[in-house]
Amino acid sequence: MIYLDHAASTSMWDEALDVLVRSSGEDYCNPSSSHKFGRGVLKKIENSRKFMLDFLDAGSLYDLFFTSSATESNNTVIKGLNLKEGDIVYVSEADHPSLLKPAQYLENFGAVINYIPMREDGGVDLGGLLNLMNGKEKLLVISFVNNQSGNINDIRDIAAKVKEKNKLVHVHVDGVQGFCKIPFSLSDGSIDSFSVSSHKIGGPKGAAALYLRKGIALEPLLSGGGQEGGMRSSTRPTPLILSFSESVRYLSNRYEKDIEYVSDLNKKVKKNLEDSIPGIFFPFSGENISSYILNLIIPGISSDIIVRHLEEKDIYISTTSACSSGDKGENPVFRALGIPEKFHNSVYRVSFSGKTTGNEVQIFCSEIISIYNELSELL
Amino acid sequence: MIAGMYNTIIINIDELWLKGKNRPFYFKTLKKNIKAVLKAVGRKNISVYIENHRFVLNAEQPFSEENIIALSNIPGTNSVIPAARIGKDYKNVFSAVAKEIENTDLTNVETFRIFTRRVDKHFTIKSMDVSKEIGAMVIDKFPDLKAKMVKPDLQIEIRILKDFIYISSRKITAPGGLPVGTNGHLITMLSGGIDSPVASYLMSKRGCKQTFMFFYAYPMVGEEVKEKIEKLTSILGRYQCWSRLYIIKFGDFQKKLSKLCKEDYRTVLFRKYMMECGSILAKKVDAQALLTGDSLGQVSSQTLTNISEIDHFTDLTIFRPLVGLNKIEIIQIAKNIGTYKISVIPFDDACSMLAPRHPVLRSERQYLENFFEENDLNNDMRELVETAEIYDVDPAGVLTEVI
Repeated sequence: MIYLDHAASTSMWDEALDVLVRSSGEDYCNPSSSHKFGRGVLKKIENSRKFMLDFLDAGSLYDLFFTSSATESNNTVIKGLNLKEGDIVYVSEADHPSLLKPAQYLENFGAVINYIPMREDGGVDLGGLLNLMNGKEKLLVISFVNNQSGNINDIRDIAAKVKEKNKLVHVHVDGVQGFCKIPFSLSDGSIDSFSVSSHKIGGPKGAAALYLRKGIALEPLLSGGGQEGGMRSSTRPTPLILSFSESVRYLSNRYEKDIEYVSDLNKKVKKNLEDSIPGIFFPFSGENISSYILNLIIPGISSDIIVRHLEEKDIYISTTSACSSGDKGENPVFRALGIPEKFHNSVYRVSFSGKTTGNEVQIFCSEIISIYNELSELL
Repeated sequence: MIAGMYNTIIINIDELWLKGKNRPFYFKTLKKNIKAVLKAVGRKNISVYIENHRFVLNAEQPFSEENIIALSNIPGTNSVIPAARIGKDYKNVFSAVAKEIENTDLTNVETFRIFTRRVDKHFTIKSMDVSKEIGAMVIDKFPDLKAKMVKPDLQIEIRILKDFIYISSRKITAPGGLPVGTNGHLITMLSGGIDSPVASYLMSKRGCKQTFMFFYAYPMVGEEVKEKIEKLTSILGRYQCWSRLYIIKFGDFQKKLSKLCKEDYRTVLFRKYMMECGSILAKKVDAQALLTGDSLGQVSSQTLTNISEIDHFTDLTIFRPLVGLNKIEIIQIAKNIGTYKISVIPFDDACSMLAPRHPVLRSERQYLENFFEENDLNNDMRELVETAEIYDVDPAGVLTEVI
């Protein structure tokens, strides 16, 4: 199998899997129990928490809460701020539904949803955003790396400038696609909350976290036993948390090297396909695009047909459109990212991991080229 | 009356009245089909017997609403009447009638009528007298109900038969026609559209056993198309009595054919080879004809010329029960049988990429003859049938892959 959909989810690192298995066998007590066994397991969780805070230089400024998914982390912040009638929320139509939907939910309470102006390359148009601000904004929701385009937002700069204009804005960042992939730190405290997910970085599914700047009060989504400082009542899933933090630990030693490596793979794919598929283009490119994500557009043949031909060969990439779905309408994310409607059925997202091999990338390229050649004869 | 109250079901038959010397065969087949449905819905130990040209089903445990619906889908039956069964003691009749009324949703019921059929003429009280007496007792007990002899909101029937008295107030219309298995075996060429499921239903009503066949164009279309066909077959299978679905993996062959022929002829030739596969399957499963949902002039492949051309492609008879129906008429039947909402799920069952820009409206015989002479695709056809994915479809509509 050749799997090039790592931005959707990725396989676990052996190191993280070992911890998951071992901890599932050993750490079965409730970490909230006051006995020695419970206290011992809680200590492991607290070590994980400290490690993850330190990893983003967030130790003194932030708390970290373990959750079950980045969607939960995003909802915890967006819904937990208790926004009121007339409060303005800025969110991007190009972002993941776990940001967009909870923001739109706030309309039920009278909050006003405004959409962040975007640049052609899929980045935030900061100048445009600052011009729109009128002092009533209470929340800005953006992603560190856009999950479709791979565009990297300079979130510290955006947060600082937005707060210069209105210091009452809470800046929430979905860090899922950048965490452990792009060098970053929370040391300047400009960002108020930051969501990360385990399964995107080779940890187990069902674990995630929220970095929350100290002193910010949120209404928890779940109430109950008061775990995670009352922010997230539920018995803590020790094996998931330990395995998640193990994947962070493992990546902390290699992710800087991975960036270079993945960037090479990305360039190879681009070059290879550019030379062989007429009309192909890459809608997002340049310095500010994550090397882990490569979007390509092959005009003329519906992307779902090519993706099924690839899956027949056990090769997996992502496309969000489908000619056979009968949904001929626009894709709102593509529209927000400035992709003309006529190409919405022709967009592919190829996403890499540090595990992806040069050979895999080579096979993917030759297969998609031969599929393209075969199908284009039928046009 | 709420489901679960009825321990008897009376099934009225349809055209079996007409079948002179063949009548025993038709009755036997229908009885077998009724038993197959009962088995498929998990009902055991039900006595099924014929009394006065009706099937009477008696059970210890009451029939559920699902049981009643399953039985009301059987071709050859005219209607299904769920009934409460009581011993032949007149003094029990009123309490059973009262129970039936108590369990009926009376929201829109103001008027009622008692209708008695005294099939057993040895029963001493006459029908009219039963109706009058019981009717009077109903008015006493349910003062909000008024008697009305013509078009009442609620009609309660009392049937006095040889061994029991049956009380009922519902009559569910069944498909009618002839029992499946009495009129030959067809290969039903299903698409994901509105028409072919309707064609299948109509021929189920004419007593035709069917084997369903779907041409699955993966990887040109997605798996959701196959799931749609499975859902349609599940509904159509309920009007059959054990059928099979053959899913022919057609995508790669379509690509091959598209390269060999003129683009304009793709649609006609896809159809030609579908008929060819249908004929091979017919031979394999001992079917005598093909069934399609063609309606004259609906799309380019259904012009008179193209339909006639298709007829040349196979020696088998092709049934086209929708040929003279308007789209709106077809849609109405599809809605009645429950296939419409599945058929309109927007997944193309054929790949639009391979569809010709200008499909030929009048095929040239000469071109086709030359094409067939130059391209022998018989082995491909046989292989397509041999490698089909096969599902058994039980009378409750459950599909099980045959491995």
